[in-house]
Amino acid sequence: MSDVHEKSHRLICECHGNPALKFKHASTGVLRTIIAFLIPGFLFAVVYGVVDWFQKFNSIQPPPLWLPFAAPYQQITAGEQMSDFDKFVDMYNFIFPGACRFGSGIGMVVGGFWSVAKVRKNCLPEKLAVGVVAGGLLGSRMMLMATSQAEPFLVAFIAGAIFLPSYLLLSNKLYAAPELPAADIDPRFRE
Amino acid sequence: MTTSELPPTASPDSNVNWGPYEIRPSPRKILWLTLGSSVAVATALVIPDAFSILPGAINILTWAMRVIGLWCSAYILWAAGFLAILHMTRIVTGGIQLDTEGVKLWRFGKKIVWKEIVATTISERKNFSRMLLISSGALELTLHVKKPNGKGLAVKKVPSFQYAPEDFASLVYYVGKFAFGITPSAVGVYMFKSADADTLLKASQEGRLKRLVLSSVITCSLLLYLARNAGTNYTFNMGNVYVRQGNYPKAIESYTMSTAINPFFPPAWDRLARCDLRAGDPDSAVEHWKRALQVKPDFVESKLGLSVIYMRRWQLVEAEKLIRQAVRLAPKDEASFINLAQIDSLMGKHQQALKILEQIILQNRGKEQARCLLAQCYLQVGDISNASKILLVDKHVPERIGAPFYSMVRAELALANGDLKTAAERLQKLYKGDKNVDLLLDMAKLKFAQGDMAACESLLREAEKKQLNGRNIDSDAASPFEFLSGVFRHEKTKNPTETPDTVAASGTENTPVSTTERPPPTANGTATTTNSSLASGQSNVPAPTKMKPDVTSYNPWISFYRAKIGFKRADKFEGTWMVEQALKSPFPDSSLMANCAILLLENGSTERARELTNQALKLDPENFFAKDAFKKLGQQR
Repeated sequence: MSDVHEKSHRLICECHGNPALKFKHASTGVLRTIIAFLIPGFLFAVVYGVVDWFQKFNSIQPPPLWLPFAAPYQQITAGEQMSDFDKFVDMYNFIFPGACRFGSGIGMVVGGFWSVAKVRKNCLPEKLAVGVVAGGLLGSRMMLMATSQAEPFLVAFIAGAIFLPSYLLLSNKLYAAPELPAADIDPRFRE
Repeated sequence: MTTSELPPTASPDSNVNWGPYEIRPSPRKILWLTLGSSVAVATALVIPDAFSILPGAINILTWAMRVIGLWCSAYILWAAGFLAILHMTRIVTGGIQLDTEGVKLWRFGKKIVWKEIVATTISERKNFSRMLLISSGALELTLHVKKPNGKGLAVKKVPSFQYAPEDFASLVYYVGKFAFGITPSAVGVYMFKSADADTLLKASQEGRLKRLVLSSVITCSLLLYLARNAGTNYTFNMGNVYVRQGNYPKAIESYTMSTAINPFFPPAWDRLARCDLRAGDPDSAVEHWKRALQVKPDFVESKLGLSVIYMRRWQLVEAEKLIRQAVRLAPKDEASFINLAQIDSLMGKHQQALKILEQIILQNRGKEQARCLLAQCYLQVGDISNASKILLVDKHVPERIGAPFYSMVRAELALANGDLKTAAERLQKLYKGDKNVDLLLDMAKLKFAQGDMAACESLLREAEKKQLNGRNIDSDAASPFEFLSGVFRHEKTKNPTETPDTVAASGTENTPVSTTERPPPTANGTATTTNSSLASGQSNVPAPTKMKPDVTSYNPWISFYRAKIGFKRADKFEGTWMVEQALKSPFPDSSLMANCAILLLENGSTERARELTNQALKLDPENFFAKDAFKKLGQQR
């Protein structure tokens, strides 16, 4: 890759040398990432709730929808009090009961990947901020599909929050190549 | 925020300092590819599922709705998963990079030098396009590249469906321009160097054959896989329908068929074991649960199921191991903790069991099984008041005629309260069904309370037989029940004048009985003996020899009730001797010790009773039986 391409990439964004603008770009990216998680999360939760209703049509146990639960949804280990993490999972399960929980997970993962894919050509501060937030949320939410325990959740959150921005940082230069110059193609070929 | 792109550094016509440029998979095309492929995949997957859910569907509407649900579920899962995979691939592999030297098909790929490309072909994938609903039609650019060793051609394929049409066209254009020095007139052209025509023809024929073989293998494998899944699920669902109808023999047939079609489907093994147990075949249940655990060693349901049988057989060490594994695997699972409480209770850790059950109930108010078990645990420590509160007052434990466990605990409460009529009514009803060891012991208690010693002893014998059922015991080895009888007969013959106190004082250490001894054989070679022969005290009885059964894994409450029978028959020697056998249990149980103490105290063995009371109180100061024994000792003093 030529030096011109590398240098050009660093100089292009208008936030270069402007910390306030860098912060603005980073915070906008974070906000957009959170929205990208929440909207598909809720959307897919509803869709999956409906799908579950179809799947369990006329079944002995109908799927749980948004109903108030009398008892905590998150069963805790006997002899222990509910930790803050248990309360968080309990609240999450209360908002997304039954199959809606899995649907929300799919939505969030889709939204997370989409938000990361969208920052490919953006400036480095925004990439890093989005990488940390999206990586953490993606890792932890995917771990929540496997287990509802605090330790793996935290480990996955930290691992995601480290891995994704690191990858975006390391692969930053590789994205510098511009697209093929279509303008140079012989017009007769296009026809 | 979006970076602007640099203009090309040089014209391609100059061939100097051109590039590098790249074409990347288009997110829009990836999305359409995903949505299109999801329709095909979901439809292919739902066909066997539609067949397999037939048994559970009560009408056509239900079936149709469930098929729609399954299709949507498969569609969403495939779409989300495939989209994520494609995007990750896009991020990791990057795009196709071109410069004046050659082309790199992916980020970590080797650069293909332009002069190594001997031919390019463009083929249209009509069927593929139709199948994946690609409206613009899928094309495939094939680069035939000379191998480094110069022998033959390597084939590199670039499908068009991930790229925007104009990007793909540009790629074809520049490949033609740089590799062959021509300007292609359209996308669908073949370009090759005439010198390599023969090699190209040969490679093309080989490629076609390979593609045909590969496609056939993939299609056959896929069809076989889907057919096997459909068969497995269909028979499994049939089994579920039969279970709901209570037709266990038919359910066993269905589950057996399911496991025959797919031996690596653990839920079928698990359900099969459950049906075996309900059909009264615990040996097969054990075998099938073991198979389920072979296929899926972390299958919590199978571990718990197997632990129930081990608990019934008083193989408490094995049961505890399985339950602790289940608790570790599923720390939020209530069933694991109920079994843990049960094993703690059987091993004499009553306070621990009570604590677990109280915690479960605190977390989940609607669990009847935990409440009944809690009541039973209270009864085991002699706390009738709390047991009554749970069973009779607590509105969360409603009277359920058909619930055997509830009925059994209610009968135990009635027995503890001395209400023999109620206890008899409930136990007689249960006795018509599945006769497990607990039920037989309760029946024996009832018969004892009613004064029917022969029936009591017969029930104890039956309980022991049930408990030993399925254990790996040599056919010529005696059961612990018979063994104890035989050893007792030998002991009594040896010391006919010994008093109960002297026997008791000799304790477990001084008796010649060991768990590895064999009872004296009878004339026909089996180790059977009757109670009458025990009481009569026959002479010339040989000493016990080696035997296989492990008396330490023998329910001590059977020995305890045999001791009660002995005392009731005024045979103090037998009573005291059996008490000592009961106390040999490797699991120290305060309730058992206290009950033995009370029994010995009532029959004149004060010193041993005091010793046992102290031990029981030390083990569990809250035990009501221990407190009662202590009180009685004080009164006697």
